[in-house]
Amino acid sequence: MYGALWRVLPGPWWVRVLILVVAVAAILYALTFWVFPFVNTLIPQGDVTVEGG
Amino acid sequence: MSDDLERLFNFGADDDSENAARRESEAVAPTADTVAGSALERVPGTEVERLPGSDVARVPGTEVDALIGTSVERVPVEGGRVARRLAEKAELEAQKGNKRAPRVPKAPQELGEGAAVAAKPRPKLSVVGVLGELLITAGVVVLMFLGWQIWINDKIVGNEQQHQAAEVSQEWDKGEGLAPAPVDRPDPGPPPTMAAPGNAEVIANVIIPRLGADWVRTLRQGIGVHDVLNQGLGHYPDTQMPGEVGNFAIAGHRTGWGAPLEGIVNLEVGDSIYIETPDGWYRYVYRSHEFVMPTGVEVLEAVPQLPDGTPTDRIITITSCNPPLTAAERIISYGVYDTWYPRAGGPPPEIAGLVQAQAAAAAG
Repeated sequence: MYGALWRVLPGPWWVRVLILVVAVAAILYALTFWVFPFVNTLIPQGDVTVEGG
Repeated sequence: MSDDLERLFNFGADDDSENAARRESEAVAPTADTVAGSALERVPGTEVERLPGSDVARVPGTEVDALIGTSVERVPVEGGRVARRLAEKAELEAQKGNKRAPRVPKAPQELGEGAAVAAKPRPKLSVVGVLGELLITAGVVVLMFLGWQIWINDKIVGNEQQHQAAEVSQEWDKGEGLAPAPVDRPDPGPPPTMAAPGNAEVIANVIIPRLGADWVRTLRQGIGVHDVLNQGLGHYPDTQMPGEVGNFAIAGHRTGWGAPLEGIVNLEVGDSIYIETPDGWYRYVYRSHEFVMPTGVEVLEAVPQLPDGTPTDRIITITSCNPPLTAAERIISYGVYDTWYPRAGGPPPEIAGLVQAQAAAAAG
């Protein structure tokens, strides 16, 4: 998959590396500020209270 | 391995794969005879010999001709140097009983003239390969999420909560001045109490110097996870209010959502727990920890653990999860009321620096 991606990208190797760096940065940004905060709301966590049971 | 390396380092040269394939097929055309019949010349600076005036070269140690600049699989000549070494290696491996002896490639003669140049087909996309890469990617993303939750998000949310507390404190500040209260001061008398507000409304700021020099969190009414605890600390609505005789019980996250009570286990006997309300600052003194099961509601009694007790002291009870990152048990921190500082008299000396910094931050 990643090998195929590498072959599909145009230009010499440093252009491909540049494209990939930009793409990875964009993915990390989206994960940090949109995907992870959303997933975090779905995860049950933080039972910090005592309750009768 | 050498093929892989060759390919790896040639990836810039054969980017136009269609073109390269065509050139490679052309390279097959000159036969060994043609080459053998002509005088080969040495390409300057290399060990490669080529046909004069052409791009067709002899691959060293073989009888293979190829276009200069293309990658070819090295095929050893029968009886040649490479083949001999491979055969020796195979024999050696066989003696050792190794089943994975290296394969000795067939000599080009057996394949017929011109068939020697066999460019290895590129590996195609396989279902297993793609699936494997996707799974590895998913695993990395999950690890990144955990790291984000513990390190990045706690910082972000923690800063937000701190900022919020500073704003609340500024709202309550009536401009009485921020000079700390004197250490020796007359007994301020019994602390004022307040009526319980509506759910999720701000009651107070909690300031615990042991949890950090700038540690302050808002305390809201209720123990709802989303509307209260994810914003800071929450007050058990059925327990007493700050300064009241009885048990003033609060809860907060120990991990995630800013992890306000991450360092709660570090409290030491005598540590201050300040509760800032519109009236001023209540000082509680930490006394002890206790570990209970999640059902241990007796810690919330007016006299903790004594359901029938008659309250005479002003107690603070802080509940959080234990061990960190799990919810198997609860860690309980008890404190007793010490004194209070009316807002007009200035903040307690111990946290005067924090209060002043908050005012500066809210003003700036």
